[in-house]
Amino acid sequence: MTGPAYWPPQAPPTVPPGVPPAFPPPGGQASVAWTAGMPAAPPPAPARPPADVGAVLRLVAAGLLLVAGVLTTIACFLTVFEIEMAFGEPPFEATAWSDSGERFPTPIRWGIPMVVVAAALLAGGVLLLLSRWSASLRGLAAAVAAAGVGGAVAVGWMVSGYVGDLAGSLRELNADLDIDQGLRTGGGVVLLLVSLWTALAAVVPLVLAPVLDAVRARAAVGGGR
Amino acid sequence: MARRAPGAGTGATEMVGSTVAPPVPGSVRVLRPVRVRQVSAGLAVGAAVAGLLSLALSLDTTRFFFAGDEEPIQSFSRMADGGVVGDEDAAFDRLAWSGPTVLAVVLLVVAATAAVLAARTDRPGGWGSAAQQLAAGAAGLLVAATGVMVVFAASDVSAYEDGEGIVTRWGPAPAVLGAAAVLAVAAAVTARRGRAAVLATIGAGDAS
Repeated sequence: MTGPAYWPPQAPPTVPPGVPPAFPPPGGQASVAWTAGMPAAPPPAPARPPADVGAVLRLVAAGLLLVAGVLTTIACFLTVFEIEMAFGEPPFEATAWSDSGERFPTPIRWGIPMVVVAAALLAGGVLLLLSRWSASLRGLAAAVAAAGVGGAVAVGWMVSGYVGDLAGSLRELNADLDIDQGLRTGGGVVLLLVSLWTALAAVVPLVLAPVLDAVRARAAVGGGR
Repeated sequence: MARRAPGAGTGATEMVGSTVAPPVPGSVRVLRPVRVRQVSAGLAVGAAVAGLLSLALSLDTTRFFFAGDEEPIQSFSRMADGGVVGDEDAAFDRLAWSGPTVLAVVLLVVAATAAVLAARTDRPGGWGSAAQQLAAGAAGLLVAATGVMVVFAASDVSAYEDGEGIVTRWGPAPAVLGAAAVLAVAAAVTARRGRAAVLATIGAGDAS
């Protein structure tokens, strides 16, 4: 609508000669269809596509998974725990592949499941990165990432639980025998726990990404109508 | 399950299956539930049962003998919660696998439910994705838990070869947990497979 409506139809109000108009017409006398009131709305800006938050979240999840995989890999080469022995004996040190003591002929090789978990975490992170360019990889990437996170949880939980329980057993032994043997948690277990929480943090963007993808798709369909 | 197909409007009743968006306006496709996704749900339930079973089994059993004696003077078996059955003082270090296993069982039950829901539509969609990722997460938990158990028990059992008067034998728990892991992997692989067979297309005014 370009001016006030009158019913019944009548001539629009005019300004007497010599009296300046209260609202000069924009564009001068050549302007047409001008009337006092609200200024015309600016032309609509071209519609911007909604931000692809799902892709950003997948990148975040990929980064977290890669960090968790690298941490688990480093943990394979660090000390798992160390026991200060009594009576001046050399300390007992256990890594993910060997130990310096005599815990049976075969040491506990924690490194084998740790390497498998690290590989799953890294593969999940890489697949999530690649899924930015290939949407068909998204399902596989999410499944591998979920498996890696599950593995990180299991290994971190069980190994740290083992070391914690061993420390408790040592404390009981110290109290019984009145000796002082302390267990120091090694960097390998610390890194495993950091990796566990980093991998768990990746689950949040991993779950939110498809939800936001669906919201974005709905918004795109709504904008097209 | 008998239920009325929406949009039929003529008294036509769908005996099995579910419906999705009509191919043409005013008609409804009647689909058979996707069999492979129902199998995925069954695999997830089987994995959950095997995981639960491993909680009641032992990782290994160690027996201590005097030289020449056949009757052990001490013996203990390692159980899921890290405890031992038998002579508790003989086991100095302990390994627990109950936590990751229970978490995996919970994930598998939810994955089975999601797979059943995914079987009721043509495309797997959100339910299929959820079922796959939950089963994959559970498979990761079970594979890693089995791996940790195996490397721990391998160290224990190695005493059988060199130790004097010590015999350690494998228990059934690692094998059962490994089987649960394989079933969980199979459930994850099959959760998004298959297409629904169209049993019938019901029009707005007639059934075909």
